[in-house]
Amino acid sequence: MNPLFMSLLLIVGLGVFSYTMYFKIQLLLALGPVDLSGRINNIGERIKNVFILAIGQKRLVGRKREWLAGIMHAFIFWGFCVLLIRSIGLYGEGFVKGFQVPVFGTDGLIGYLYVALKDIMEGLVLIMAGYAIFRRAVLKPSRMHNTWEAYFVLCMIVVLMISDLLLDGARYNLITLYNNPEHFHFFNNPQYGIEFAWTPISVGAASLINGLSADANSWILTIMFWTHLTTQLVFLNFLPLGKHFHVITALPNVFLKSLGYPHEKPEVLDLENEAAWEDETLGINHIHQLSWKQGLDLYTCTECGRCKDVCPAYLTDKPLSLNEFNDDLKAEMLSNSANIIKRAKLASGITEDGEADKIEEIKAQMAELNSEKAIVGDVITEDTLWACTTCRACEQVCPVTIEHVPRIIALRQGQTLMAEAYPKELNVALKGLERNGNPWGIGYDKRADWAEGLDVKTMAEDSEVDYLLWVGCAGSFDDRTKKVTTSLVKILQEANISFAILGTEEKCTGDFARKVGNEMLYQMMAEENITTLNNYKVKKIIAACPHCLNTLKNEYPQMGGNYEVIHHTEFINQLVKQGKITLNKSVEGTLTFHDPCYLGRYNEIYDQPRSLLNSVSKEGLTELDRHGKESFCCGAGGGRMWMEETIGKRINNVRAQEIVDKKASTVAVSCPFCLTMIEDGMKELAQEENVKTQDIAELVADNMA
Amino acid sequence: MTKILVVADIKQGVLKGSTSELLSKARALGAETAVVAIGSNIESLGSDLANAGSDTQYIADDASLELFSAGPFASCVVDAAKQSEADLVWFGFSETGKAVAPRVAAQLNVACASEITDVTIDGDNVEVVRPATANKLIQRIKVNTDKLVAVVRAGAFEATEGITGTENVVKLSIPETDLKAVIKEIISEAGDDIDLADANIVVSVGRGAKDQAGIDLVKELATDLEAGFGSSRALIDAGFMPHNKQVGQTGKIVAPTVYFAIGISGAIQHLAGMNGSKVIVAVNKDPEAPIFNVADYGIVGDLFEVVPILREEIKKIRS
Repeated sequence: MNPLFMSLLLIVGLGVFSYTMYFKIQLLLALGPVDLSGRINNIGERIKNVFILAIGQKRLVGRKREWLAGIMHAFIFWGFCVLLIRSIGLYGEGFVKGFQVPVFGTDGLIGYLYVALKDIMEGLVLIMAGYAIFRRAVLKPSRMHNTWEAYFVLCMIVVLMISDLLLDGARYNLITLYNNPEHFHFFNNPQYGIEFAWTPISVGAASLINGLSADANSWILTIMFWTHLTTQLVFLNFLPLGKHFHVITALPNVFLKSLGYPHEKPEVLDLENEAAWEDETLGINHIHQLSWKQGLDLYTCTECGRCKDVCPAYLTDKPLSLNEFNDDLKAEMLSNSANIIKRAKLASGITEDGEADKIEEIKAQMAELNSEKAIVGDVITEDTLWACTTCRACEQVCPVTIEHVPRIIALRQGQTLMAEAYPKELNVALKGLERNGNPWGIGYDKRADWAEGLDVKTMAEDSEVDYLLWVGCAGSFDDRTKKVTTSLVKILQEANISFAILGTEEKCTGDFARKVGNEMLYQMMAEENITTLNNYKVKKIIAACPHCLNTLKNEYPQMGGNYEVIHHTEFINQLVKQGKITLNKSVEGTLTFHDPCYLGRYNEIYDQPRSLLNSVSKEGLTELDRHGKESFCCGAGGGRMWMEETIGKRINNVRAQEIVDKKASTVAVSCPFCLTMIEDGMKELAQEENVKTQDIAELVADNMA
Repeated sequence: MTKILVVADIKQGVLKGSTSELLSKARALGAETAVVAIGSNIESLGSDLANAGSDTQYIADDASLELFSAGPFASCVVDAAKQSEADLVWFGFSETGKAVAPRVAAQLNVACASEITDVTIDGDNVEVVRPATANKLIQRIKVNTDKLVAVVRAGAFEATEGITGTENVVKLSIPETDLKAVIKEIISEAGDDIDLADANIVVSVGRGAKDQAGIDLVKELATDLEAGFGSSRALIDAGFMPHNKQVGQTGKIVAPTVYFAIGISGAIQHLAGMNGSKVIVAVNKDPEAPIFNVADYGIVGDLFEVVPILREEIKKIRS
């Protein structure tokens, strides 16, 4: 077309883009380090994730709720992917007349298929962009904010599609109406016919302008050519400036996704490191303490709001709106970017063998570059930070695999360890853990009282058993949960399982202490428990609480505790399959199941509880609307069990109402927190007579043949 | 002769009973007794302070001392301790006592013990007794400094009847206002109520009361008994009771001599807040309610029937 203009356009477009990206990447590199061993291992699985989640758009298309919006987004994305090849052709055309991309631009079958696909995709993208505008302007889903930015991008997409269709339309008119085939390249293979027989939408576009003269069509062709390419470069440059950056960052973010465990495990902080305390580097208090992966998460957040749409805190009117939370952090990060970069340069000047005076001087200079804002207090409120139940519903729906929860825990670590600013009502529970190994502070010597007369051995009496039964604090001390423990013991004894308990040697795993940021107390509990477990050479553990399960199975290995840990629902299910226990389908009425977050979303145990429930229910299991991966938290996770819930509606009441609305007569749970919260909710709604809340172990024990 | 200075506990211009309890104990130990009173418009308390069992009354009376502020209050106590040459300085168990005692100890450079339940003096040898690790252990502590500042646990000492002292008022100079922290206003939700943490008897009401009428019924029992009035979480969530009345894991932790749990099932979250009580009385219509596992006395029945009978019987005994 015009090589000079094409060169200019590309130099400006790509030059400005590279400049922007340079600073974006420089900022990421100036943020905290990331343990890459957990981010680039298993390349095969990572590539598979990129294909399924990013390119396949699984979390957009595969969600029953909002499937239409998912399809919309996916087709726009796929359309862009398809158009990429066409674009290369157009840029080439800018330099060399009649330039064609190899293979896709030749008149073989692939060439024909490609033009047909491109044509249909352009039509589809146009329809989808139209729907997106309609959805934003008219339907207005509550989770989204309507910004000019979003409309601008949608309009650019519309312009891109229309310009390309009109470009082909004008070409078609010039070739067929004005008999000008020799000036324009098009496929005309005797086997597959003329190219335009394969591109109905371009032909449709052509009919819109076929009343115009040859000159006019020729002009349209030229204008559309440059409009298309200019818009494309403007679009590219616009991406890094706002939430549309995800178009670029989503692929690496999905590639770097945590594997094996659904999000990055909390770091085992080195609490013996005096410098860490002095320099206040434990947890996150200032924006420069984010790791670069967390920075990439913030770049990638598209503010789509799917996270808050499933968030128990947001849905019960707590001041935690995750997309705004991300947006606030991102704004703080970007407004400090120059200082963060300077800071990192200074930090690189600190060497192990450096002079102490010099190091102190550098550290003082670095401290001057800290943001004036404390993240908690100035950027987000305390109530926002502490509202999270760590249920992971947000992470499970996030289409671009942002890891929200570890960041929240790191911020809580900063609050608890450095600022000593955490909800005071936690003190009783934390002190209880410290002194008696349970959050209620009941004498540790009473921990095994529940087992009296049940013929249960302790490891001290006999450690030559197949399994350790990890009872947990609630199962040991709470009268309601003790009934679950005794049911479980009845099942294990019925199946002749060789097991023992730790008795008074067992202590809280430290789960909630860690989730509220008290890493010191967590490590203390973990160390004591691991020492006890390793002394008895424990190999297999049955855990009756998903929080214990998660900590024993996924977090203790960080500190040298490696065991095969299995939840009681998994274990009982095995017993049923092996024929060691037989169940009667004798539970009457509607039976439903509330998935505990730490069983489901954290450990992907969804089927075993259901299999058991189907084996005891006459009618079979009735699912709640929010179940499985999208189960709604009971409200007690992440230490929320030990805090007051004074803002908004109570999460457990909302969940209990959902269960009542399903006309359930029994709701099964498999977590002591859920048991307490759901049962309390039923009492609050005056439904405790109509809806029984029972652990799966109880239902099984009561219905054994 | 040992000299003991007791810090008077004054609330809204009235001398609280704990002051005479502490003074009675001091006299029983054969000590010379002094009391220090800090506040605004409290000069008239001179004779009350003497009658409570003190021989010397140090009074710091100034408008600037009307609202409690730990810094200036500590200065007054230190001043009185120096003037009286006290060997032991005792605070009654209250939030203000807990805030001032360590400051006084630090300024005098002597030891400080909290929540003591007994004191023995044998010549120069002073020993105190205090519970530790959530009441699981009783510590007997020998004091190595020549003086001791101590906060006495609520109800540890008993007032002796018919005790009197002599009126000998010494006016203290007024300390400068603490510029680091100025108390502007004290917001208290229910000023005339008995503080749950200080109360000797606590009556708590739970979900069984159903509504305001039920709560009022139980509250009357608390009033009859001059008891602190608390609640389990259910009624607070329902908006019937203010949060500062919550007894339990995330509310107040109480350990009174007698605890009445009325219409409370006794979920572990509640037990964590009251199972240190000496005697627990439970009323609940569900015989299976876990509260009966910790109760010393249990009544299975509807609180709407039981509470009126309880009140009547208590009145009979009192008259």
